[in-house]
Amino acid sequence: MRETATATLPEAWGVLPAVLAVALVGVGLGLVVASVDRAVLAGRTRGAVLEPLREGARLLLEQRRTTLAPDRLLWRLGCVAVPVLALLSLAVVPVGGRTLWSTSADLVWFNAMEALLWAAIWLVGWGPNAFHALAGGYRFLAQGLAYELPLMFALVTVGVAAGSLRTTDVLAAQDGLWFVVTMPVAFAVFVASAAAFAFWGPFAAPTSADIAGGVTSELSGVDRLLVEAGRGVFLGATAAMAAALFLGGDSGPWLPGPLWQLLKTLAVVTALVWVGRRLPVLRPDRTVEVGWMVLVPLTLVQALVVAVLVLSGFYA
Amino acid sequence: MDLIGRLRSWALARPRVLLVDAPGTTGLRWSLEAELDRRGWTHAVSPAQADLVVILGEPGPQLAHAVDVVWSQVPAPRHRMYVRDGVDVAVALDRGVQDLLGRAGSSAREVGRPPPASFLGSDDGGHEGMDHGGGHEGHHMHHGGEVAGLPMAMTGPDRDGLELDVLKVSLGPVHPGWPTGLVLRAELQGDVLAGADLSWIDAESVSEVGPSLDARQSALDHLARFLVVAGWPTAARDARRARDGLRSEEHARRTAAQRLAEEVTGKVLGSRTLAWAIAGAGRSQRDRGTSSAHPVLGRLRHWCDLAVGRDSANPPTPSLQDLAASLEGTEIGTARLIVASLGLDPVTSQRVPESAGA
Repeated sequence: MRETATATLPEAWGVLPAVLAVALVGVGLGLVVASVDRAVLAGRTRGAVLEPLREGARLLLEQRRTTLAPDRLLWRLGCVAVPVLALLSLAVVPVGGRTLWSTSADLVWFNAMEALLWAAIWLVGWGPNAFHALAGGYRFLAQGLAYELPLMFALVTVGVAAGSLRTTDVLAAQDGLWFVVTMPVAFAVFVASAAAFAFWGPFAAPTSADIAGGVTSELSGVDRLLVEAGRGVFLGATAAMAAALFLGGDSGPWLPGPLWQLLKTLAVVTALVWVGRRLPVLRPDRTVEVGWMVLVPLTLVQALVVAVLVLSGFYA
Repeated sequence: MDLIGRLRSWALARPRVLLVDAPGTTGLRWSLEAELDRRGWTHAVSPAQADLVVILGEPGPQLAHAVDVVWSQVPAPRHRMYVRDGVDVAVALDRGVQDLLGRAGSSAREVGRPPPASFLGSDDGGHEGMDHGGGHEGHHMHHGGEVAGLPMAMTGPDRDGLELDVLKVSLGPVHPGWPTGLVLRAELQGDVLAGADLSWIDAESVSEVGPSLDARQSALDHLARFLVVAGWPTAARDARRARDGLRSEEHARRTAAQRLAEEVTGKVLGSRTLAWAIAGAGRSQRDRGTSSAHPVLGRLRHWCDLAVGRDSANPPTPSLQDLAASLEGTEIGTARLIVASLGLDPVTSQRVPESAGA
């Protein structure tokens, strides 16, 4: 019934238009996240769409900050890597039912981009040779270790149910029933992890005000723009991925598929920002404990339940 | 105006502001923060983020020096402005953004930015407060030698007995959410503080008595500043709005502010996540298990009670020496929470002229 399921975007549109389209979708998603975030933070919707653009223009006009004896190469490399990794993770997120890049291990690719983000953020913290940035880097590593395993198990659960690690196969497997119904824990963990690896909201400890902005404390100009944009694109890409993996992607009655996917993605973004901004920043030493002691067992049980359902032929 | 000029003035219309409040300018700071919130301008949390540095009142010599260091770290286009008491803050900010635009538009390159290394070495108390520049101020020589005039960090046993790098750092005197003028010098291993030492700068020149402030507004202000440090910007914004509303002449605004104050304190006190995040912070070994087992939480309740007009016994403010002792072995974020919960102010708080070591 889904005859285009295995075709990729470049096969359908050509390589260059497909890459451009996905990059545009990524920037668009990032803008959506920034706008919603701005509206919730300022407590008003007026100017929420324009403000992130203004912020970007302001940063483009700004001088780049240099510090005493920085590790310039690794610092700049880390800054560039954040948005690049965000866009690369978007390559396996279905846009209009197709992905830019399709392998037999899409979910692993998505996860690998987040794992590489550790290195990128650590370098951004390490580079300027300043202690607040370094402390932010430490926090990100501790937090990253704690959320990575639950996130992996959440992705594995999806893969088990679909019998494939290809995102288009996951979409096809949800024809009867959205995965969120049988795996609510995996869905919640996936969305929370999105906030964690985008160091945003309650998981913003690596960039929080108590360490003067942490890893971003010494960033200005285009460097800050890259990191902030990368963070927005990551959040947007993960919301789109959550819509695809758990909420049936582009399936839905009456409306065309891409519109459904957009609506679901917007719903995930809005819910994430609305809930996230109602909470204070969680201290990493506390979240790490929850990650290891609560989330790892919970996601394992979730994977077990789904595996039993698969064996009993529930998803067939 | 040409296209580039238009774009520039659009982009810089809402600059990020770094506030430096000289002692005794609390009322002025409230007016300015209210105006910033009204305009939707955001506060910078570090000099690298700032476009506009606004200095309130007359800084003493050491604070003025610290402002110079902060200024050296602000990327261009940048503008520094002084706001004195009795000035219309809206007019001052309008002029500030015009001046910022003028500087951004002028083709002349800015001259006279001192190299960061020039602030090293002169140990007169002011500059050391700045942690944003060369953060690794290891004063102890290590066989690793020097990098760009900075000695390499030495290693030492940490609280768990591991050999870790020791960084000499100092926090303040200018630091968002931090009492302006307070300087914390300590050794840092990872993100754990040791050998903390606290002192006020310009201690001789500051008058002890400031203008009297409304207790409820002060409590809301302390609450807002604490919430910024605790990383809860929406609640901090509501606390500031309630504070500003209570200063209004209109009855309707004051009643609305009263409601908002009750709402935000209810939210803060009811938040399990916040209680979970800050529980145990500031607890010393000897009062484990007693009523003062959660001093930061207790302080927070105190500010919340005052904010809605309930009577609340003032918990004793520890001396800088005791405070420094309680910071021993804490993580840097916890230390910030402890200091923020006290609502320290050089003007009204007990001050010891000499620095208090731990």
